[in-house]
Amino acid sequence: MNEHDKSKKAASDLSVVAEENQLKEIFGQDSETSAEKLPENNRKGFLKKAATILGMASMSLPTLVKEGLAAVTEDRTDEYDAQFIEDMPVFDIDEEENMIIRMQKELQTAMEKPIEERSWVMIIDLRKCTGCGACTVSCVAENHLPAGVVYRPVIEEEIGTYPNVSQQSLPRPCMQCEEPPCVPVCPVNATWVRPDGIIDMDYDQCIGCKYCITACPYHARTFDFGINYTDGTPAKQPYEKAANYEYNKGYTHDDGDPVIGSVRKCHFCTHKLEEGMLPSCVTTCIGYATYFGDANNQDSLVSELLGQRNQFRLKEELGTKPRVYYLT
Amino acid sequence: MSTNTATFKIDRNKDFKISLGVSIAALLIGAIGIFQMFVMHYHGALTSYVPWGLLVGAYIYMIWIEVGTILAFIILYYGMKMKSLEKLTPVVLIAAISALAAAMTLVGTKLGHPFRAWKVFLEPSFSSVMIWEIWTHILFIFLLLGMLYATIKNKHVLMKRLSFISVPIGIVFISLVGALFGVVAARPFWNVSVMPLMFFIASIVAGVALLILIHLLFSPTKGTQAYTKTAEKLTRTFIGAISIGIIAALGNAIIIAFPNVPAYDEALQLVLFGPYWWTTWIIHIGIGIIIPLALLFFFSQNLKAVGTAAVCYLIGFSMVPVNIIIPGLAYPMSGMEGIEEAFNHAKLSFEYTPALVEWLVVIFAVGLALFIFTLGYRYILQPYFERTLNQ
Amino acid sequence: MSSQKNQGISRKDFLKTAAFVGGIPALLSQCQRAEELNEKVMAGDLSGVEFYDISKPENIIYTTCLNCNTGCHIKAKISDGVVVKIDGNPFSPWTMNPHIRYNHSPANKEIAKLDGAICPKGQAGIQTMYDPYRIRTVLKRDGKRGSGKWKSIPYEQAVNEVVNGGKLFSHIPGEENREVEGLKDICAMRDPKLMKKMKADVDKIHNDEMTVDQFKEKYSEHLDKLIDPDHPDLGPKNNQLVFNYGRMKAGRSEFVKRFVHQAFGSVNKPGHTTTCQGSLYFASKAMNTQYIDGEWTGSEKAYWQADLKNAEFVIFAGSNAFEGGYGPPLRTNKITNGLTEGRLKFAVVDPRMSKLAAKAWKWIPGKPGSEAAHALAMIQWIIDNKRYDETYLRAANKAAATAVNEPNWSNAPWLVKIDENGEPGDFLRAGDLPESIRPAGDADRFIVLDNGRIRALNPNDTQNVVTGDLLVDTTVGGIPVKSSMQLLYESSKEHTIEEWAEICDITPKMITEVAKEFTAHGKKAAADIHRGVSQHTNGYYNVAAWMSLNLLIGNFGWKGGMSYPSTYNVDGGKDGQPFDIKKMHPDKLSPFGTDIVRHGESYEKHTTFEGYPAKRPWYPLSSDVYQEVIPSIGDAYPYPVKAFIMYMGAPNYALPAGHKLNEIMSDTEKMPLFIASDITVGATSAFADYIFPDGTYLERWEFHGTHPNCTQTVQGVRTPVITPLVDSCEVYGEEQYMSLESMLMAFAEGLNLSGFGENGFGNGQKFTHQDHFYLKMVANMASDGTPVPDATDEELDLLEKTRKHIEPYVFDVNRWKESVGEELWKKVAYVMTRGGRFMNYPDTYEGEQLTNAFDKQINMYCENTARTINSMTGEHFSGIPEHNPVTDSLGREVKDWEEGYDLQLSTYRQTTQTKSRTNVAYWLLAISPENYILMNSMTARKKGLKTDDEVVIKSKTNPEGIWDLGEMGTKKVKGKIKVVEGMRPGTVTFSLGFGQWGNGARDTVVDGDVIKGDKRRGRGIHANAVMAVDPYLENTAFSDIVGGSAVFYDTWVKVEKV
Ligand SMILES: Nc1nc2c(c(=O)[nH]1)N[C@H]1C(S)=C(S)[C@@H](COP(=O)(O)OP(=O)(O)OC[C@H]3O[C@@H](n4cnc5c(=O)[nH]c(N)nc54)[C@H](O)[C@@H]3O)O[C@H]1N2
Ligand SMILES: Nc1nc2c(c(=O)[nH]1)N[C@H]1C(S)=C(S)[C@@H](COP(=O)(O)OP(=O)(O)OC[C@H]3O[C@@H](n4cnc5c(=O)[nH]c(N)nc54)[C@H](O)[C@@H]3O)O[C@H]1N2
Ligand code: SF4
Ligand code: SF4
Ligand code: SF4
Ligand code: SF4
Ligand code: SF4
Ligand SMILES: [Mo]
Repeated sequence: MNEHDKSKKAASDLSVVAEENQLKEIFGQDSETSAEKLPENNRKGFLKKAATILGMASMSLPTLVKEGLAAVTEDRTDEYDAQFIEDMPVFDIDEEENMIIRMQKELQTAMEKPIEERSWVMIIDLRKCTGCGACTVSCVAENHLPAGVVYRPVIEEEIGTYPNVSQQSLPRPCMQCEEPPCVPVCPVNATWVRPDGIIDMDYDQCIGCKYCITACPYHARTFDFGINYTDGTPAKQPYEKAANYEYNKGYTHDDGDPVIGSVRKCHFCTHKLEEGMLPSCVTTCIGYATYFGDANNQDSLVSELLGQRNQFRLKEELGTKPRVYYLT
Repeated sequence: MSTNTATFKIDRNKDFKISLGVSIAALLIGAIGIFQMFVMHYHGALTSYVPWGLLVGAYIYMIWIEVGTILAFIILYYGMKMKSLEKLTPVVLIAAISALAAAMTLVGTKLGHPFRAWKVFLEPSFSSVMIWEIWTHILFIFLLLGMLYATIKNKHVLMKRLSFISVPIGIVFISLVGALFGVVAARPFWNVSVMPLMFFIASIVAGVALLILIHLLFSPTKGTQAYTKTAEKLTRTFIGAISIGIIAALGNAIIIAFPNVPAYDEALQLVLFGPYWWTTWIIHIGIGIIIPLALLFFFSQNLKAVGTAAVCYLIGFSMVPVNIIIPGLAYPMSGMEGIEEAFNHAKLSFEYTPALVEWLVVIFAVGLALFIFTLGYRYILQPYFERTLNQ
Repeated sequence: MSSQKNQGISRKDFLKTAAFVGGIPALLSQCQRAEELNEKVMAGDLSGVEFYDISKPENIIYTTCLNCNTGCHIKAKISDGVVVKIDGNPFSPWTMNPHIRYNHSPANKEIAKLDGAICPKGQAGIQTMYDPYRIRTVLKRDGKRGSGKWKSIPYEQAVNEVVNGGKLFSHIPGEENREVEGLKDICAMRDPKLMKKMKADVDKIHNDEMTVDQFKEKYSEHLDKLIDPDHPDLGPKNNQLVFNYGRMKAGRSEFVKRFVHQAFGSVNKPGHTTTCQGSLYFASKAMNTQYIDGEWTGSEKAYWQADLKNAEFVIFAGSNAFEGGYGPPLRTNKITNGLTEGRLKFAVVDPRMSKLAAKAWKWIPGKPGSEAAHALAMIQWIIDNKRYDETYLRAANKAAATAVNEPNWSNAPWLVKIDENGEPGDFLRAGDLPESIRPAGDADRFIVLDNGRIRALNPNDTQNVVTGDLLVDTTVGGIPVKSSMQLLYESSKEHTIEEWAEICDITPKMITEVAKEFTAHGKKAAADIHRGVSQHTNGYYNVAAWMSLNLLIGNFGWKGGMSYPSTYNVDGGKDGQPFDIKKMHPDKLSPFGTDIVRHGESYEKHTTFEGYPAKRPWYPLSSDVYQEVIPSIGDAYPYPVKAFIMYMGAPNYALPAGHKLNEIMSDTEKMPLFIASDITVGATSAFADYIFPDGTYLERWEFHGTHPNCTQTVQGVRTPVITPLVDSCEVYGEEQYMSLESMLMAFAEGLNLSGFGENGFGNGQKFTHQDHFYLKMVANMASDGTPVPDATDEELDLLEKTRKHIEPYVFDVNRWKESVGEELWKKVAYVMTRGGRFMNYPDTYEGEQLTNAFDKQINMYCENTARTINSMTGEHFSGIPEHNPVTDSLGREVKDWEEGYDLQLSTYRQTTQTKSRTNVAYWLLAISPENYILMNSMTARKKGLKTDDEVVIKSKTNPEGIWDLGEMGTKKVKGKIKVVEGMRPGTVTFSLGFGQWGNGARDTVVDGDVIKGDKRRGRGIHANAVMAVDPYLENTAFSDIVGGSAVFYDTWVKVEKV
């Protein structure tokens, strides 16, 4: 039986499917399950149901979960006013082939629209990524990340056997999932989906329960344990003491500061977007492997790239719908 | 009768001192851990990749005991009409409340911002299972306190009503604790639908085990035939509960193993053959299952053996929550292999061995439970027993 | 002596760290500012846009990175006086592709928001500067050399001691009575006229126009000023000061030249080129030598690299373009864009599967040391299959090149005389021919056969087009001759392709397929080579062979072919430039004599000549022979050295067999006075007597020139972006920050040297602050060719605003203005506000050629090389590329594998580390906290090793596998294995930058307080200590005697599990 047949058979079993949907609602899972996963889920469906009934949680949960979700996507539009942007100077024609300038201009155009009309996506071309780590460090510097916190590690893997060997580097920012598993689990709304798709954190709200860390399928959330890179050396250094630009809040990283004990994650450099600037990992990418822009703009570079066939998203099967795409 | 009561009191007085001493010692030792954690900002061995560990495990275990004891008691007493358990009611309640106190201590210490804990009440997000779990827990706590009040004040009707309500609430609560893990789609090892059921069963079995202990140690009918009879009944229940538990655990293992998803395999590998294989094989299976089963099978008439079996079970299962939590976290998720080498830090590691500070905090929590139980017994129960038994 | 303010720090803390930047209290206030800011933002008093200050023009200073030698143009983003972020400069073609026009204004808010791309090390420059282990005041040794014990001393005291000498270390047991000679005694000859005369007479001795006795008689009164009157060609005692440097770029280089050569009168200013890619430089230098007025001259120490933006096919051989090289930001996106655009295809010759190789069309894991064999095999195939550019190669002089629209020409058709042994010698010249067939005219002209007809040529002739036949093997007028190209062809025919393939341990198909592809893209193909080709004992000829491949397709100066560096001049030597810095030096000395590494001189002509082999090799064709400096001092050859200054180098760490230097540096007899300029207690400065603190590259002046792969003319300015974190001092009556410059100026002041001080630049032109020097250089670059426009008022204003946080002793607009004069000031400001000068992108090309195309002759046959004699064997070098086995300095083949050393040791760069100095950057260590010994799985299986196994590496010359660190003790050359597929079996490698003992990796004691080291800085392995020691020299690694390279890749080792 090939995959197609398998899924067809599974789909024809109506009762199972119905049950599936109900359960997905309960557990907040997405209904977009890839074909090959279906049979397994069906088998588990029964047990899930049994468990739920037993737990009697099924009575009230679905509606409440929905309400809860509505609450976390609440409109906080006025917090994200586009900052005024001066006119970009006119560049010569040949400079137009400069993708950084093009993307920055497109970004500024997008920032002039209301927030809910922007749809940020990041595209990482794995053919162009050399695994240099510039993006990783640039992000650390831009966001004053302390020791043990990282937003964009680059995962490296060797493929093949001698002499037919190759290597793959995979930068991993936060996927800014459209269906983010990390958000609904938060007990106190410390993390939420912005109207433009970015998942924000509120360091003053987070209680540090780390539930969201366990829920993110991409290891994209890390906990701020309050450690400094210079701990154990003659002195803490000025760059570690300087105010943090994240969310334009100006946090510092001294004992008792709100960031310490909170969960941290990539936010597509929202503070820079508001300035009409591209995220740091994009501009510093020496392979020109990272693209950023507004997918709602048909003419943008990212839209052009998304029109190509060679794209994929990480763990598509989980239905998280990442806003980060990869090209191969 | 009265002589009985007298002995009862004197014995307990001696035990009281020992118990109080032990609990205070534990509290003092554990306080070092609390101090290190809150004042010196020790983070324990937790990392961003293994964000939950011993403390969460101990918390779950305490909840199992807290809820399981109550549920087991109510089901046996009201459901199966084991009237002989009646006298144990206040002990059971105090025991559950003690476990509750330990659980609360543990949950507090695992937060990055313990002083923001109030937010879960005033600024809750109802999309989070955690909120439901916490809120039902609170509800359950009120029920517990209500029941204690009812018992002490001899309000039987109220007691019965509260008991009836606490069964579904307890079940929902314990299932939600299971669901806390079960809903995490990112973690295949947790993301099994039977997690709530498993938690429920585990909690009931632990409850029965504790109930046996409570009966054996604290029953005012000690020495009577009723005492032995009740013990026998409880033993049979215990055997039944343990068997269901094993079957359920096996079933779960099969569910996990069967789909052949690498991530499950890895987690299972870790549980069975990882560096802490002994927690599974020796503590969980050896002490927690084989020894109790053997004791119950061969010496079910011997009350000491039964008591030992119960203790063994409680010890053996203490590692179970940790053994569910850590394997779910202790390896990179599929597609993310190598992430711990992409950016290196002790706090970005999948290796987790509970640190001393975590053990100290657990000791503190256990000490607190014992302390509360001891004081509760001495200052609430003993006067109460004296009152009721003398009537 | 003022110093940084000390309030806000407890006395105890202050004492503990007074000598270290870690203790700088001024920085505490920063923390308060941050808190205030935070409060303001929270209270809503500050909007986000105001808060994000680092996107504003007034908070950006454009400068130049130096966290590796690439030197990318960067912008330092400064918040409240603290550099919080570094990004690329969009005006520069290095960090933005294509870059914005030079005439955009940095004051424009949107320009300020444009960030270019830089590598992770560049990002982490913040941690190089804000390093708690940096030194901020002078440290003097307080125990034996290398003992790690120091005391901080006042600046005047340090200067005074160095200048005047005395019993400087009487407080140290064993040195109670050691009298140290100060600089004032070493600087014995001060009369410029005398020096000039002596210099001329020494030349006469070498040309047999004067005898030593005649010389001695003539200068009988001054013989005490010579090192050795019997060998006047060793020069004056002044030469006994050696200023050795690692990384030094334009500007500082001129500064040091001014001090060492022109003011102090020493010839000794050796750099580190040969540890880098010496033979690449010096083989290329031989190839770019021009024939002018009957002499081989006008050569440039420069090489070629591929124009990656336009190339269609590139062979990268031993060139690590993604992880190392010059440099990741410049080249990476040109390659990756090429890949996704479908423009570029490339092959990589490297024993390791580099990140570049991972994306290659073909990865060719050739055997180390076989690079020339590989290139010659391709040359053979190309010539056999006639796939070379005949039109280009036939052009024999400039006129011919112009006629066929080529920017340059080669000597491929020129005829070379063949001696009785069949060996090629000099070129055939018109004068050599019998009168009957001698072409009329100059006898000095070269000869080609043009369709069999004899023709004479002058290479630089722009009128008479001369072309020649390429493969000529004949006699002309009875003289046996061969064309250059014939010689190349014959060298390539030394073996069949199959045999070559076997030598390289690759398949013949790999050779022919790549050769075919290389010749299938016209001029848009290139062979881009680097250290992997040059740092071998046969490096010179490896390089020459690969460069000859490029010659065969005539790609020099073409889009997509080979590009040549071009930069704006800073020293003012060009017409139209305002300040000819070198000449603005009253009473300057013209030093003479042999330098300590014996470069540019022939052993045979020297009065110390004693037959072959020489005691140590002489390097007539190369310079800056790093591995020779300290060992020569150790051997006192050719003379003993009295004072040694080390600037920004860590040769004991960097050099192969660097451990051998520790013994010499620890010896106060061999090296009586050792002064270091450093930013921390470094790997080498740890052995010094005095360490003078320097500003890091973000706190000081310099320029950076360019690299061959950059097709535009550029010059970056490096300038202080904050008040340097070091203490200040007073020199020539002005407050200065402690730096290399203030150190040298203080010495000059103490010695009363020319060229510095009140009239340092000539009458009335003072040189009392380094700004006086560097600003003039900026004015020079602003005036090179067409001068830059004037800065607008807004830009002038910006220049000051961006520096409002900098103390006046570092930035004072009036001092800056004064240095260049009102008229040039606006041009200087134009350059300063843009971080340098950059050619506009549209000007890069002229049709299909590069505007900066190399437009002179390129030698296929190097007559000059062929004329040079090897000081160790007495034989002539070859003028044509050839394959040689790996040999020691005496030319004996190395066969250590016969003695059980069965693995070849190699080394490479990884993106995150730069040599001995980025171990301080925790951000980089987070990406890669240690390195590994990479080993192929087949080799590992054979050895029973697996990943993370610890092994010790041992070699024949270091059979115990030990790093001897002198007083610091020893440590094993021990590391962890990483089993990989991407490594040639039989070869192991490790990356550079780990296994350190300097820069805070170990405990030090300063003023009696222990400063705990940081273990993170010392992890991993550095295996240079097992690299082969030359058996004849015994204290130096293998070298390429022709091209000067220190050899990193030709050691046989074994690994033993611990
Ligand atoms: N990250 C980083 N970048 C740097 C620097 C740095 O320290 N760190 N330093 C700068 C400096 S000073 C320099 S000189 C350049 C050097 O730049 P490169 O010369 O490009 O760099 P390397 O990595 O030293 O060596 C080049 C390559 O040669 C390979 N190789 C080793 N042995 C052999 C061999 O026997 N044959 C062949 N064919 N290949 C071999 C290595 O695996 C490596 O990939 O880099 C500059 N850029
Ligand atoms: N195994 C192995 N070894 C190698 C190589 C390799 O590929 N593999 N490559 C070789 C190459 S290409 C090179 S270029 C050499 C480089 O070798 P060097 O030029 O000797 O070394 P660096 O490590 O750059 O020297 C840095 C020293 O300068 C100090 N320093 C840093 N910044 C400053 C400053 O601003 N001012 C002053 N005064 N001092 C400063 C540091 O503290 C340190 O002590 O290494 C070589 N060594
Ligand atoms: S990647 Fe993780 S943290 Fe980011 S939105 Fe998705 S689930 Fe949340
Ligand atoms: S750690 Fe913070 S953000 Fe994450 S779930 Fe808990 S409260 Fe929410
Ligand atoms: S978008 Fe910003 S926060 Fe996210 S990884 Fe890139 S630099 Fe970091
Ligand atoms: S900066 Fe670009 S090339 Fe470098 S690792 Fe990040 S995505 Fe890859
Ligand atoms: S390559 Fe990196 S470290 Fe080197 S100069 Fe450029 S940015 Fe700086
Ligand atoms: Mo170098």
